[in-house]
Amino acid sequence: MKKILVQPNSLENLGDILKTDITGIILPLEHLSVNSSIYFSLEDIKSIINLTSKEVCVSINKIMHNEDLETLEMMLVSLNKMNISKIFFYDLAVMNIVKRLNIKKELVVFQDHLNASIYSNNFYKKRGINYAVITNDIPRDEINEISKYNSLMLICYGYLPIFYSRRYLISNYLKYISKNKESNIYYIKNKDDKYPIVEEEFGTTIYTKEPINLINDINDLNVEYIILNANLTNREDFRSILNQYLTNRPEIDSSKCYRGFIDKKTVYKVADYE
Amino acid sequence: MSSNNRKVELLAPAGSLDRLKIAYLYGADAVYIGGTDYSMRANAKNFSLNEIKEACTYAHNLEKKLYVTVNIVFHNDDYVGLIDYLRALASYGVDAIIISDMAIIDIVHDNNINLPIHISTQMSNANYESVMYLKNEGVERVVLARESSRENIKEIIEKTGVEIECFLHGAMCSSYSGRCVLSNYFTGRDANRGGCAQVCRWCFDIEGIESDAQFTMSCKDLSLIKNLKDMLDIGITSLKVEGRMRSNYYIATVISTYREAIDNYYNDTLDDERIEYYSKILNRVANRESTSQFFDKFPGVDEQYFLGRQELSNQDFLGIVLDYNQDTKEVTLEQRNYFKTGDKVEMFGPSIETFSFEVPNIYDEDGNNLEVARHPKQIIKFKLETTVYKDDIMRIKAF
Repeated sequence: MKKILVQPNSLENLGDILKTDITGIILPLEHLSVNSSIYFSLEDIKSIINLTSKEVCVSINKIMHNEDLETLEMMLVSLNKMNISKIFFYDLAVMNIVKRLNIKKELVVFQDHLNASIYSNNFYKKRGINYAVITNDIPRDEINEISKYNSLMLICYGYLPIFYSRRYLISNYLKYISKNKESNIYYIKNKDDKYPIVEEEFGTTIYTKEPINLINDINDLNVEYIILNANLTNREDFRSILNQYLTNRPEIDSSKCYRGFIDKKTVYKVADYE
Repeated sequence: MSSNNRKVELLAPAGSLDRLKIAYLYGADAVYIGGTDYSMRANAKNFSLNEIKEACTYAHNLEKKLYVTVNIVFHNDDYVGLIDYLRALASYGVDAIIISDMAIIDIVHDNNINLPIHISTQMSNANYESVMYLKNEGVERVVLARESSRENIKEIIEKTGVEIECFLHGAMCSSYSGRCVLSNYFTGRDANRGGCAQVCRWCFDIEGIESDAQFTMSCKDLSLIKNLKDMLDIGITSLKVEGRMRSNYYIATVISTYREAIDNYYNDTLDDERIEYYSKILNRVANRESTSQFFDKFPGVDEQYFLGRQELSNQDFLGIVLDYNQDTKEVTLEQRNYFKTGDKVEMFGPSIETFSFEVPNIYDEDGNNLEVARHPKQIIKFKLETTVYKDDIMRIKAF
């Protein structure tokens, strides 16, 4: 069975998943991460490490601006002294600081929609990056080809961020139409589909219309870790999903699973397509 | 004026050879183009290898630079032919390639291909640690994220010593570049391989919110004419104009306006009155409103578009000069938009001071007097005392 990492969406959800037979958890670090409904301080992470023998990974996926760098360096130094398993990162600033300070933690490049090829992932591997979370924007055969040369992780369950802006798009809109913001989560409607749009401290994210669910595909995917992200999924539904992955017993009709681009390619040259 | 002695580079876009020539002619120091392969803006006409070679020769004869975008996020199959392609670019003397996929760094270095590397804004670099990382990888220049503020840019320049390129003018992504794949998931078109369907400009209802004004992610365009002094003072290497799919007229107007403003800066004549005038010219040529976005503040509601605003096409471009006969003082002009005798117009171009005049009697190619010039590409002749040159442009006098 593949190793399973889970990103929780609440403390209750974290409690649930730590009781299961997963490999580890991914904890988004406060002030330096985005696209999560819960963030963890260094103190929180220390406490959680003491509670579990599972892998504890930390996600740092914000695009950094200069004003973040002091915090980033301090956090990386602290994380280096803690018993964490891996650091997931987006911004190259992390690589530079890790190299400069000789930080000895396993690193996972996790750039959402970049690094979609063998060579791109080899670039990071050659520089000592241990794993890559491969993008969900490419099909199974391409993922498996890349996996021959790289140690891969793949998001197999969860709402995928498909747009991330530094701007406060919901607040701006509500201000424009003179309405009050009553939630951080709304849904934009496109025909019969609804896409979650979430505003948080560092901007606005739009997610896929449904959580991707590759439960019926995992046996055909040559990835070392599968990632299940609980963000935006309710506690009971996620328990059920997690159980299916843990038992590797697909109980969902494949046609009802949103599978993104796992079995189709994006259109490269529109003129060729048209 | 700054103590910085190095003159800034004005970098123009071009989607075709004729636009590239217009960009250089109207004052660009460098032009960036895309090849028919490996380049974003897959719907632009883009350049074949032969055209890139011709463009490169043209640029270097003018002692100007040419950059080529190789800026898609590569999938496994996209590498076919890439090394030969990069070698060809190097053999033509292309001054740099603009990339967003880190794999290209290794491919260029491992194959000893003599091509300087610029990192695209698609990678959203917005801090000095990431820029330092890229410097250590041998990168010559970094195009910063459009979310960068003046203070951030200044600090990055001071702490890294890397050439920094910033966007000066044009359309903006509403998202961080590289972190938007709305096109992929709404239309199947690959945003990071040039297929952006501009979903951010679509209008949407938001569940539970009743309003006549629909939601969009769309933001206004970028214009930093009013911040130009600041940009030059802090030592930015290159100022980039967006728009490889823009028209000849747009490129000529925007580039000539910024050329003049930059030259004014270096000879200490860039005052508020000129900036205001340039700003009006730039606003006039655009079909969308513009703001300074992240450069001098955090953008809010005033930097976004709502209400599904119509984007009007600009009718100011009246014609382009094909010839001027010094003996007969006669202009031969190719028409672009409706004009008639008596209209107040102005002529601008790379070798003339902009001047205004009233359209005199106009004639067709056969010498027949015309009441109006109404047909696009129609050849029009009229008398003009002031000398003009091929490729000068006639436009409505708006100010």
